[in-house]
Formats: sequence, structure tokens, C-alpha cells
Amino acid sequence: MTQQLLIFCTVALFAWSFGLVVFTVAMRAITAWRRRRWQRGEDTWRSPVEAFVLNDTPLPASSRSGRRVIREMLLRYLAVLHGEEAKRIVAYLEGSGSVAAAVQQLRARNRWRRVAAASQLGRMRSQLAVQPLITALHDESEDVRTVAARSLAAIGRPEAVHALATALGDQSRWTASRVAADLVEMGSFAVPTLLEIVGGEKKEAAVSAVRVLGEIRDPRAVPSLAEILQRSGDLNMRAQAARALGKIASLQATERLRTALTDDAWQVRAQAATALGALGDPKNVDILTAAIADHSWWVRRNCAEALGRLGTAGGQALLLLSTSPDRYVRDRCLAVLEELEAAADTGRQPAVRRTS
Amino acid sequence: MSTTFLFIVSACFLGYFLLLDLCYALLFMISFLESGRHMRRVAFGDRRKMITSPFVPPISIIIPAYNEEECIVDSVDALRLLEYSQFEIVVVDDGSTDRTLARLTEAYQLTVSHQPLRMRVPCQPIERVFTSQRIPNLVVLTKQNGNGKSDAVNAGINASRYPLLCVSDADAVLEKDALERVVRPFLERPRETIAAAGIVRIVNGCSIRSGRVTEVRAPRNPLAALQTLEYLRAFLASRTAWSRLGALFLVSGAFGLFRTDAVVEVGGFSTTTLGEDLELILHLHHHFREQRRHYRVVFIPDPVVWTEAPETFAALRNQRDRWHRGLLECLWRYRDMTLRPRYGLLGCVALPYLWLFEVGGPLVETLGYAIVLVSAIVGVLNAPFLLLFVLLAMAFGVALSLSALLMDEVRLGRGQPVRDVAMLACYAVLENLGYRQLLAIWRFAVTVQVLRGKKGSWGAMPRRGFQQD
Repeated sequence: MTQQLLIFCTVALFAWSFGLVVFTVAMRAITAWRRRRWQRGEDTWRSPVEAFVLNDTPLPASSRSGRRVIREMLLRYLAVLHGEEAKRIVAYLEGSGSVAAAVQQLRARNRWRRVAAASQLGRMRSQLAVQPLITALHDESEDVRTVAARSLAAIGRPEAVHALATALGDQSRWTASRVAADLVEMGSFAVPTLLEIVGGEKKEAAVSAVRVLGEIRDPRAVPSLAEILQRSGDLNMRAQAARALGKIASLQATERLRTALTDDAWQVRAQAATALGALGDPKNVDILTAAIADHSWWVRRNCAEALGRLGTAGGQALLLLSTSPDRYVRDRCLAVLEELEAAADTGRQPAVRRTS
Repeated sequence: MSTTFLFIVSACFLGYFLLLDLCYALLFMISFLESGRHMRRVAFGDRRKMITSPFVPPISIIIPAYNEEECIVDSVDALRLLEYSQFEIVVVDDGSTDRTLARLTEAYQLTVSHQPLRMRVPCQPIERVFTSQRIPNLVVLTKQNGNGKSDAVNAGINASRYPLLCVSDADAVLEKDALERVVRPFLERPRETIAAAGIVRIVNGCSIRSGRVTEVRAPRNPLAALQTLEYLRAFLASRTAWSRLGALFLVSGAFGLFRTDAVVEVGGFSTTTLGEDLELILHLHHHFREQRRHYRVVFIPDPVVWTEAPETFAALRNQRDRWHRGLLECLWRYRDMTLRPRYGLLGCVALPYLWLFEVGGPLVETLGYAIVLVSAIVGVLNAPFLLLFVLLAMAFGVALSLSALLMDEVRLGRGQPVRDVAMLACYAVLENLGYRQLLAIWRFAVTVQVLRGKKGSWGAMPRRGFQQD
């Protein structure tokens, strides 16, 4: 009995191995055949599709597989075209039912189908897809939500901004981080909505909105960010606000950033130091020189690097500090001066030379 | 009497073998499903956007180098071309006696820097810090040789400035999108993810241009080809599953991404073991579980690093000795985690698995060969049973290797020529005829040496450099 069982297992395993080999060979052959078939389809439809895109020549009727080839070719054109040609392609996709079919797939039970549909809708750039995609931002699957957000950003309609900004508070940090990147790509017209989110109740969303505002670099955000820097009780919000102000680099925020150098939290002081360097205003040399004695490592490091960004005045301050009795300050300043010299040698920055 | 004894022994061996195969089969099934799910997510991930996103965390890449003059410049050049938004390269010259530092100095115009270091983890004194006149994000440290790779990596940690830490080898070739892929778990769950690993592949046989693998081929050297199969089994058919179960015990030293603060918290890499990569992960598990903090260590199958496999028996034995010694040291050091529910599936399943099959396997196997030999001499050998048992073991080995090979084809599609896949399939059969037995005997010998208190060393592997084709 035992021997028979062993024989059975051995034969079954060898059969499985043989099956795997056959499967691999067959899979390769099928993939190659499909690729050739698709290429033939593209060759057949290239001229009619180009005529449609460029001259609005109507596309002839086609089989189901032909329609798939045409749709894929049009989507590739749509990714690089704007203006009349793009509108024509979108109108075709809407008229041929491709958009409606993808919208319907957004309600499929299989989440990968929903993801694929959301992705297709983003490529189709149809306004008809905006509302269904906004609804998909509440899908149970984070993959669907993430792709829906990306598609909404690609379509770029103002009505999608609020939904996207709200999605910054998504329970999945993956989705939220992707949404943040999408909002940065949408640019300035997301700013008013983001400012609303910054003042809202949801902390995670507010912190992300502050980061996004910094990346968009729109000066309209400066007053609100400066206010957060001064008044927010949340350390993360204050640190992100200081960082964002440094990214925007508006002199309007100078005073608040100088005050932030005395914040209780080292994270805020470190970000404020970097931001003051980013402003490029030589008037901040003194306060950064004083702050370089901070007890936090990061603040000292950022102060030295900030001084390196303040031109000749900053360079002079670094030269003075490079003889400091504090070994860390001395070495950090020397390291920044070395970087400045290397940048000057390669023409990236004006020279600040050490005399000794 | 002797028949009963033989029956019991045979039953024990058969039971052990079936349990091992069951584990492998389960791990493979979990890996297959999980890798499919991961690759689907990646397919919709929009890589381009991730690379340019301002929200991806910057990474410090640490490359310890000891006598790597052949490949160090190519390695740094390849790293410079990685597709990632912000990273720095920290090369640690671990007291090389060749021209490693000279090569770097010539290639990148290194100058001595005053850059102060944050000594966050212990390491031997760092002699000098160099920065490059040509590349702003390159830092080179020099230190005296000693305490192995771990000490060099620890020195690199002290010079790093970013929140994530990528540890690799000077002779490893990272694929250009490897960082962007391996960072994904840190974006998905930034507070919990403390380490992530990618797959290590064998570069022997592949074409390399400018530090990049341009054509994937199977190795021509039989030893390297056999190791290709081993790596596929270990990474694709096993680690994906352990990662899914939340019990991943190893992030390979050739390529791993860590949260810097987590590594600093546990004091960096251990310098007192040869299995520093395994030790670090077990230490992280131990530390975070003790503190009852949420964390995860993840393996994902698509970020690829290519590494050179030994092509001679001496080099292979040296490598395997080191690995097995490292395994024994680490398992012994963290023996209190074994079968303890507070360490979750790692303590209750993964570590017992390592004890039973990785440590016990070579002992059982070698004991089996000895019993067969003695039985044959005494004349009580049940030849038909033995033949059947060997055939079954071989069938399972072949099935598992081919399944891993197929999984590589289906899930990752590296586009190897059919001829190469067929050749690897042949090696899946051949590896059962001597190679596996040899590895078991080597590992058995190491276990005996460790039990007798004999110390091991890193040894050296001859390098061919990147311009091999």
C-alpha cells in the first residue's frame, strides 16, 4: 500500500513537471502569436486611424478585435495630442461606447477589472468619466481609489479637485501619497481647495495638503502657511508649514520663519533654518549664525547649509564660523565651504574662497 | 528485530521528507498567489509618476568595498544612473589593500572633506571622509579593515543623511528601477515598514554594458546554472510566502532597503556573526515585538539586483560555509524566539522551520546516506524502497524547481531565450544527482565544526568585474 502510494506520488510529480514544461512552451508560443496578430491589426488600421486623427476622415466599420486595436491606437495618440485632434478622439471614444463600457466596468465585482476601467477612463480624458471616477474614490479597494485619483488628475477638471483634495485623508497612506502627487501635477488651480482642507478637521489630510501647497509653490498659500507656522499646536503641521514656506521662498514669510527658529520642537527649527536659506536673503545671516549653536544636530546642520545658500554674506559667516571652538560647527562649516568651492569649480555657483 | 528497526527508521525518514515537501508546496502556492497580486498592482502603478514625485523619501545607498578595484568605478557609475528622485551614494573602503580608493579618486576627483559624522551606531574609527568634485551625492569613507562587512556598513550608516538606507555590494548590479520598486512598501505603509527586500539574481552568463544587464541569459558554467535554480526557488517560491505570512526572516545583504531609524535603534549590523543580514532582521523582529510595536518586513519579487555566483567548488564551498555558519549563529543567538507565540508566525512557524529543515536537513540527509551505506554492508537494505524514495525525492525536487522557473516566466517574464529555459529545466533534473548531496555534506561538516567551536571567516571570492561580456 505504502509502495503504491509512493509510486503514485512519484508519477504524479513527474507528470506535473512535464506539464509545466509543455505549459511554458505553449504559453510562449501563444504570446508570440498574439503579438504578431496585434501587430498585423495595427498595420491594417494605421492609415485609417491617422486619417481620422489628422483629417477627421470617418473610420470604417470594423470587427470587435479591430475596434480594440483602433481604440488602443487612438489612446496612444491622445496621450500626446491636444486641441482639435484630441477633442475628436475623445468624441469618437464617447460615441463608440468605449467610455460607457469602461464606466460600466467600474462597477464590476472583480477589483482588477475596476482598476483597469479606472485606468482606461483616465487615458480617455472624457468629461463623462469625471463623476463615475469621483464615485470610485470611495471604492473599497485602495488600488481602485488610487488609479481613479490618477485618472481624475489626468482629466484635470476643476470639479474633481475637491474630491481629490478630500482623498488626501484616505485611510490608505499609499492612496493619499499618490493623490498628493496628482494634486501637485494639477498645479495652481488646486490651491483654493487645498487651503480649505488645511483649515479642516482631518489632521492627516491637512498635513498632506500643506506639503502639496509647498510643492505647488503658489504664493497665495503663504499667509495661511505662515499662520499655521505660528499658531498650530501640531508639531508636524508646523514643521511641514516651515518646509512649504521654504519651497515657495516668498520673502513675505521671513518674520514668521525667523520666529520659528526659536520653536520648542527641533523639527520646526530645522525646517525653518532650511527655509530661511531658501529665501536667499542675506539679512538672515545673523539669525542663522546665532542658531548654529542650537543643541539639535539637525538644526545646526541645516543652519550651516542655509548659510551656504546666502551668497557672499553667508560665505563670510561660514568662514568666520570655520574657526569656531565648537568642533562640530567648525567641521560642518568647513564641509559646506568645500561644497561651495566644488560647485564654483564646476560653474554651479559663484566662488567663496577660503584664505587659509 | 532489525526489520522492525529498519521499518521505524524508514518511516521516520519518509515522514520528515513528506513534511518538508508539504512546507515547500504550501510556500510555493502562497508565493504564486501573492506575486500575482503584487505584479498586478505594479502594472497599474504608473512608474514614471513615482520617479518624479516629490513625496518619495530620499535614500542613502551604502556600498562596502574591500579590494574591489576591478568593479568599484563601474558599480558607482551604475548607481548614479538609477532612476530615483533623490539619493546619495556612500562607499566605504574597508581598508582595501589594492587600488580601490585610487580608482575612485581618479574617476570622481575625490578630495578630503571635513564633513562631520553622526556616530549613531558603533564602528571602527573612520580615517577620512572624501567628497567628489564631480558628483555632489557621492561620499567615500576609509577605515581600517576589521569586523567584516557589517562594520563597513555601520560606518556608512554614520555618514548617511536620509531616512531610508539601501545596503548593497560593490559587485552587485542594481536594475535601474530597483530603488523605485523596492521603496513601494515604504510608501504604502510608511509607519510600519522597516525593511524591504528584492530578488537577487545570478549575473553569470548575462551581457553587461555600462554596469547594466542588457541581455538576460542562463549561465554557461554548470555550477552557476545550478545556483540560478536555487536562487529562484529561495526567492520566488519561498520568501514571497514568508513575507505574506509576516514572518520574513532574511533580507539579503546584496540588496535591502531599511528605515534608518529602525536600524539605528537596534545598534546597526552585528559584527560578531557571519550572517549579518539574517541577524539584523531577527534583531529587528525581536526588538519590535518586545516593544509591541506594529511593523513589517517585506519581500517583493520585482526589484532586481544581479550578483556574481561562484563558479568553482572552492569558492562555492566557502560561500556556503559562511551562510550556514551565519544561520547557526543567528538561530542560536535568537533561540528564545523559537516557539514563542509573542513572536507570531516568525516564532511559531518560520524559526522552527529553519531549525527543522535548514539546520536539521543536512544532518538527516547525511545520516540517511550513512544508514543506507551501513544497511548495504550488513545486507538488510530494502533496495526497492530506497529506489522509490530516491525517485520520489527527485521528482519533488524537479517539480519544485520547474515550478519556480515557470513562476519566473509567468509573473516576471525576464525574456530569457527558450534554449536557456530548456537548459535550466535540464539542470533541475541534474541537480539531484550529486549537487544537492554535496551541499548537504558541506553543511553537515560546518555544523560539526561549529559544535566543536571552530571559528569561520569571510574568505574571498575571485571577481571578474562588470565588463565580462
